[in-house]
Amino acid sequence: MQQKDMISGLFFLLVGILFSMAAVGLPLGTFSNPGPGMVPLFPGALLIILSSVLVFRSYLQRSKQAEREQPSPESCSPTAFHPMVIITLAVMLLYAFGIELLGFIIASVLLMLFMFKFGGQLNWRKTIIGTVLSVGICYLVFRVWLEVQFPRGPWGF
Amino acid sequence: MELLGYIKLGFSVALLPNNLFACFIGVLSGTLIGVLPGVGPAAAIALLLPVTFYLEPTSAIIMLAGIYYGAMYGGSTTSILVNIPGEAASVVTTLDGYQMARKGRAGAALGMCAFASFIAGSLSIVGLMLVAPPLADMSLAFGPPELFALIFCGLAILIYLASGSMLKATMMAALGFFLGTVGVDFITGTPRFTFGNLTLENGIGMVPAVMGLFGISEVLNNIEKPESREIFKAAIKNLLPTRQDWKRALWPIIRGTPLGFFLGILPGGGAVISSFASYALEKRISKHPEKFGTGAIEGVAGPEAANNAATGGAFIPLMVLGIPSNPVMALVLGALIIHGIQPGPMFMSQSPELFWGVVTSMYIGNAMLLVLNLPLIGMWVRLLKVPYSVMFPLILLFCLIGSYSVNNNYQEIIVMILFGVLGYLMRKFKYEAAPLVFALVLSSLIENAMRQSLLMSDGSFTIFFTRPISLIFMIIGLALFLLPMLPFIKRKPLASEDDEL
Repeated sequence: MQQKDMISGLFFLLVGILFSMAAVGLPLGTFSNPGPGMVPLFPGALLIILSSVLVFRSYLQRSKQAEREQPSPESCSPTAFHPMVIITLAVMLLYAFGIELLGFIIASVLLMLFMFKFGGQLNWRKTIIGTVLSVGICYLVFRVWLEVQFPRGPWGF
Repeated sequence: MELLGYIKLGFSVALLPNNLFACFIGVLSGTLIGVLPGVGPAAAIALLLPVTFYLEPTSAIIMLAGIYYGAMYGGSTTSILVNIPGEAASVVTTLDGYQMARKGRAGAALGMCAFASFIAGSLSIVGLMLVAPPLADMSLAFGPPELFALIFCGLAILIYLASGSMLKATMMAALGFFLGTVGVDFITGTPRFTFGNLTLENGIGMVPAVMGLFGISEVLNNIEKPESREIFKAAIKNLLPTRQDWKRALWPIIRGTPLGFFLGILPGGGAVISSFASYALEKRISKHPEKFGTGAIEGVAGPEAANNAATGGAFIPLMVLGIPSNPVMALVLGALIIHGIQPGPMFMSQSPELFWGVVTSMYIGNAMLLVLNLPLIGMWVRLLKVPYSVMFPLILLFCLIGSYSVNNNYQEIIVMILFGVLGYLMRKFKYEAAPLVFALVLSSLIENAMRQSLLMSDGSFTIFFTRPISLIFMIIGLALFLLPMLPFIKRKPLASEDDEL
């Protein structure tokens, strides 16, 4: 727990510092006539203060814990990503770029084929039925009912 | 009878074919998504938000409201059948509902849920009709300092009730507030923190942010830690509760309704607290408190009534003050703003057809829910048997298409993925998403109120403390932040970990 707090606290401390620096880079104005940078500076500074408290607190707790020589049960790395999580993220990113290159239908079909087959471990028959159904329903909802203009691929669909 | 006229107007709007259809789709899809374990009302609304953007405002809000209470109902179904609450507000329902199911009374529990929700939902709408107009008159006295103080107070309550550390919840609120300021400054027109990116100039989209935080992060966490669930196998029969059941459940429903309604009005609270409060109340006044937890129907009926009544109550601060009382209402507010509607004191007089149409549609929606769910429970049970590995690609596809369709911009998908990773890590490191979303959506309102207040007071922060209404809210808010620091006061987080929303 302490280690998690330490890592995340340091991360948000950094975020807070970057935010505040970015806010100071904008015209701050005065209190009676606040500029665009004034208001964002408040949450930025608050984030710095609070994450410092978190880091400090977890540091104190950790040294206390070290005295008692209790190994933290959660000392395994909390940042280890599950491989399927990475794959899912990568596939979503590919989809983001693919939708404009390949068109909505092809990109979605590829996505679903892959996810059902690889993620869901379905047999090919179920994979294909699932893909046709899910993409078909999305097409009906978004394209036909809501009339969203989706990108078409180089083949015109 | 001015009120009757308004109700008539409401029904004439709500009964239009396209609004009825929107209500039906909202209720149906809300229940469908609510049944999926771990996907609560906030995620349900996030998933379906893009769909509503293409509807006209009234239909859109009617549909969103339908999704909300549909998802609440779906959550109860999973609580009873699988012992997994679909959302935080149905945690209590698992206590006695699942026990009833184990004793072969799943049908009666589900049926009672539906009736209790219907009765409470209907009564709370009557309450909404009675309470909202006078409050709207009162809220005309609200200027920028009062609005600021009220949002501050709401945020404080939300943080105070956070299930984990208050410090971390406050950090998330600060983060959300900051992220909400990304985009063109509305007063000076200066682009802020956009790095020249055109997508960011419009600000961080609420849809991709919320879909990422509630939808994608949920999927990522489930991929990593698949939940094992044991589905109740016995056939579900006798959905209608017996006369004996009714006798025991009637008073809990009658008590739960006003309790839930008034707790729902309070900012930050809502359905979760009211269901817990009703359970505690029923247990305390029961002649057989020892029966609670072993399948007492009172323990299902009371909390279910309370959390549905809270839904009606939660609409009051939103419609009357333009301030959402919980993250779900914050999403509804976002949807209203996207449709160019700013709810507030003038909302009811300026667009009566929208206000009354939505309110009466909630009544119709509750009836639909009742009719829909009694025969459809068998289908929900089968849905629960679909393995998650098949379910999550569907959720992903819907999120991807949904976030793209908002602006036909692939960069919105990337924003969603980033928020998905953020939400995933936040869960691992035990940070809550609710304060972040709340602050993100309200950021521009807070900033606006703060800057206008400072302009009014010529730069003095005392303006928030010298006006009576504002002072009260500031005191409550500050007290909530400061009280837990006192050593002799122990804050008891309401919901257990991980099941927030």
